[in-house]
Amino acid sequence: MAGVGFVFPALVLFSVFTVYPMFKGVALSFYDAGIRTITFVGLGNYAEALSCPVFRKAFLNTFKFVCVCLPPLVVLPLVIAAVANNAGKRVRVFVRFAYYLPTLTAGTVAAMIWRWLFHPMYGLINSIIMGLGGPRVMWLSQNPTAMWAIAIVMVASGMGVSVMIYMAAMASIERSLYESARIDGCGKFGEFRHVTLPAVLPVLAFLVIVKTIGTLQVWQYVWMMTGGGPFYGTTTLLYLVYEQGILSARYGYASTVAVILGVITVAFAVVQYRFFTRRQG
Amino acid sequence: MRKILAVVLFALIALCAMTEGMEEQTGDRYIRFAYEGIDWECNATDTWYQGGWLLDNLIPQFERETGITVIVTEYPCGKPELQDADLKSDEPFDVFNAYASRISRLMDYSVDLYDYIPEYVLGKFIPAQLEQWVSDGKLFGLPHAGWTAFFCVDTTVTERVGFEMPDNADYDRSWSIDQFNDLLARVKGRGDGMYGTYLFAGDRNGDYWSAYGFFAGFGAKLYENGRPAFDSPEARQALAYLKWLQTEEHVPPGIAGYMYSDSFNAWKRNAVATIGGNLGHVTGMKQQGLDAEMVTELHTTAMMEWPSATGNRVPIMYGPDAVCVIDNGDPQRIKDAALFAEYLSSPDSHFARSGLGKWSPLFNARKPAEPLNWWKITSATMKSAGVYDMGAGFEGQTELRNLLATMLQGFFNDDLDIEGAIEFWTDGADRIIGR
Repeated sequence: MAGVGFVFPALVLFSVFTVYPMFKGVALSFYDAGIRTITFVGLGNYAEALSCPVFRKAFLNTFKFVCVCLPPLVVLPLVIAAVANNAGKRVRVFVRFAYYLPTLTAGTVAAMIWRWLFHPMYGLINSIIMGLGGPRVMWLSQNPTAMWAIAIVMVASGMGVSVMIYMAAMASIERSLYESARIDGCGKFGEFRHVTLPAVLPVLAFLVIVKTIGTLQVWQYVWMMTGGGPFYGTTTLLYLVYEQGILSARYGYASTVAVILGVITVAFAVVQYRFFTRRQG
Repeated sequence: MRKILAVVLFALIALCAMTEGMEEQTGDRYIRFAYEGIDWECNATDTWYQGGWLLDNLIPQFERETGITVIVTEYPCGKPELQDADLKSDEPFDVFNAYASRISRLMDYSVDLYDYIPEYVLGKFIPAQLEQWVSDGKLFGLPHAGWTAFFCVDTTVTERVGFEMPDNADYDRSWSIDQFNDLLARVKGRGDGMYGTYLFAGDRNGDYWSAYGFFAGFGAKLYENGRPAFDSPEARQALAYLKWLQTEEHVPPGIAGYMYSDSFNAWKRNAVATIGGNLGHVTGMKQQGLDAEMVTELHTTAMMEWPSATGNRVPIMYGPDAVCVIDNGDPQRIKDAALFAEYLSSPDSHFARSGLGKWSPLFNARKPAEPLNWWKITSATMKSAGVYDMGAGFEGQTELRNLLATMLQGFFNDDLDIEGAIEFWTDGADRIIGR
């Protein structure tokens, strides 16, 4: 009974701010809902979404972001953590600090800084590229470079936490396992493959799922850096939700896009979860 | 611990009591007034708000003269969802003042101001300006300041290339397309990293004045009689000219991704000779110049006349802010709210708003005090050439403005050719307007 009492406040908040809006959103997706008007349209919003080229573009862009960002967001931190884990204590502390620091920066601030770095005329990145004899790259002005630029920012900003989690997982691996591996003739790569990787697989699975969900919901970097452009090149589903719902007061249609995004997210999470649990099983 | 809890509880009770007391202070008749707060985008950085004119002068005056209490709510800029939530509540606001597109967004919930604002008050407005705020015969908003398209000219650059700006002491519109093209050629001929002019299409907030100016200069209308009207020879001319500016490198590379703020950066670096913008933009340029300690004198001029343009209409003008009265079902409240809207859009209000030089008042009548030059030119041009329709009368104005940006991005990046751009805009605008 005391347990229920402790859980109750959180349960109330969760119900009011998460569960209720979720069901309300699903219900709203069947309505043409404006600010004060609401009309039942059945599957009309879904039909509109599926026939709308902007929705299809946003849908594809969202998947492209996942495909581009997920591997580096999961694998790069693993490599960095593995290398740091084999180094001395000072290096480990430095790596933790260096990679975690950017995650403390607000996303909007990071986006603004990166926008300047990517500026075609005055940006540092183009200065370096052109200084080395390369061409001027229209990072945020052209497709597909705009998507690549945002992906770089997402990876750079999102790696820190993963590095920390991997390093924590690796720190808990028994040293004796590495000694056994060495006795069995394993080199550094063999140790990583046969000891480190299996040990951190649950963490890797967790990160794949979390990062997939996070990438599916990319919004703030798009909003700050490209506004969904150029020519819908970086418009994502969540950006479309914002644009249609908040800016245009089309709450019904925005809810429809949000529901579709929610279904995709759940489907991804379930498939990935099953894949990893089978591998571990 | 108990003491702390007791103090907190006491503070809460005291707060509740104070709030109750505040409620009691409101008279029998009251209206709720809401506006979007201080932000560059919401244009509220002027004397109208910050100088206290609205809160310290106008509202007390209204309350004194009418006995109606005004309860004020300030919304953060660019958070329309908060306004929407309040509109759905039991105590929605009655009067709303915001950026033009935010007012258009609420047109379905606004009363017809033709029924409430006396004819002699409406008669003071420049008719073409007021017509923008009519949808299906309903006057859903009253504007109280307007932006006008202008060119900012960096005289450091023009002097460097030996170009003499036309004398525009009175903004006499003597700035022709031939002179403009001559300037472009000189800047390009110098070949030291400067550009003749600037375009930006990367923003999704509607600030595409550089392009609006050229469209209107060529007589290419975006809308006519409530429908998209961009499928015209003038639009083809305008787009061809923009493309020419790009391919001939009279504008910096990367324009499809540039945002409004990027133009300030180019300005500070003396990198461009001219930037098409509006009065607000000009003020921003001045400030940027001061911040950068530029010795340059900013030279502003009305958009040039284009001898080849069929319409030959100078692109004037748009918003930025207007006021609307929400239909909350209480006839007395609506009447009181409309009266307050009348105060908000009075000549005094226009002149207070225009005091900083960013906006033009929209009245025929001129204030007895010495009028500024740009008042003369904007007022005269609006009267003679009308108003370039930028879509204030459409509920989906935000979407339409974003669609224009997207079209320009596709056009500048060669995803769309001229015909493709026109088709993209026309189809998209048709869909949004017809929804």
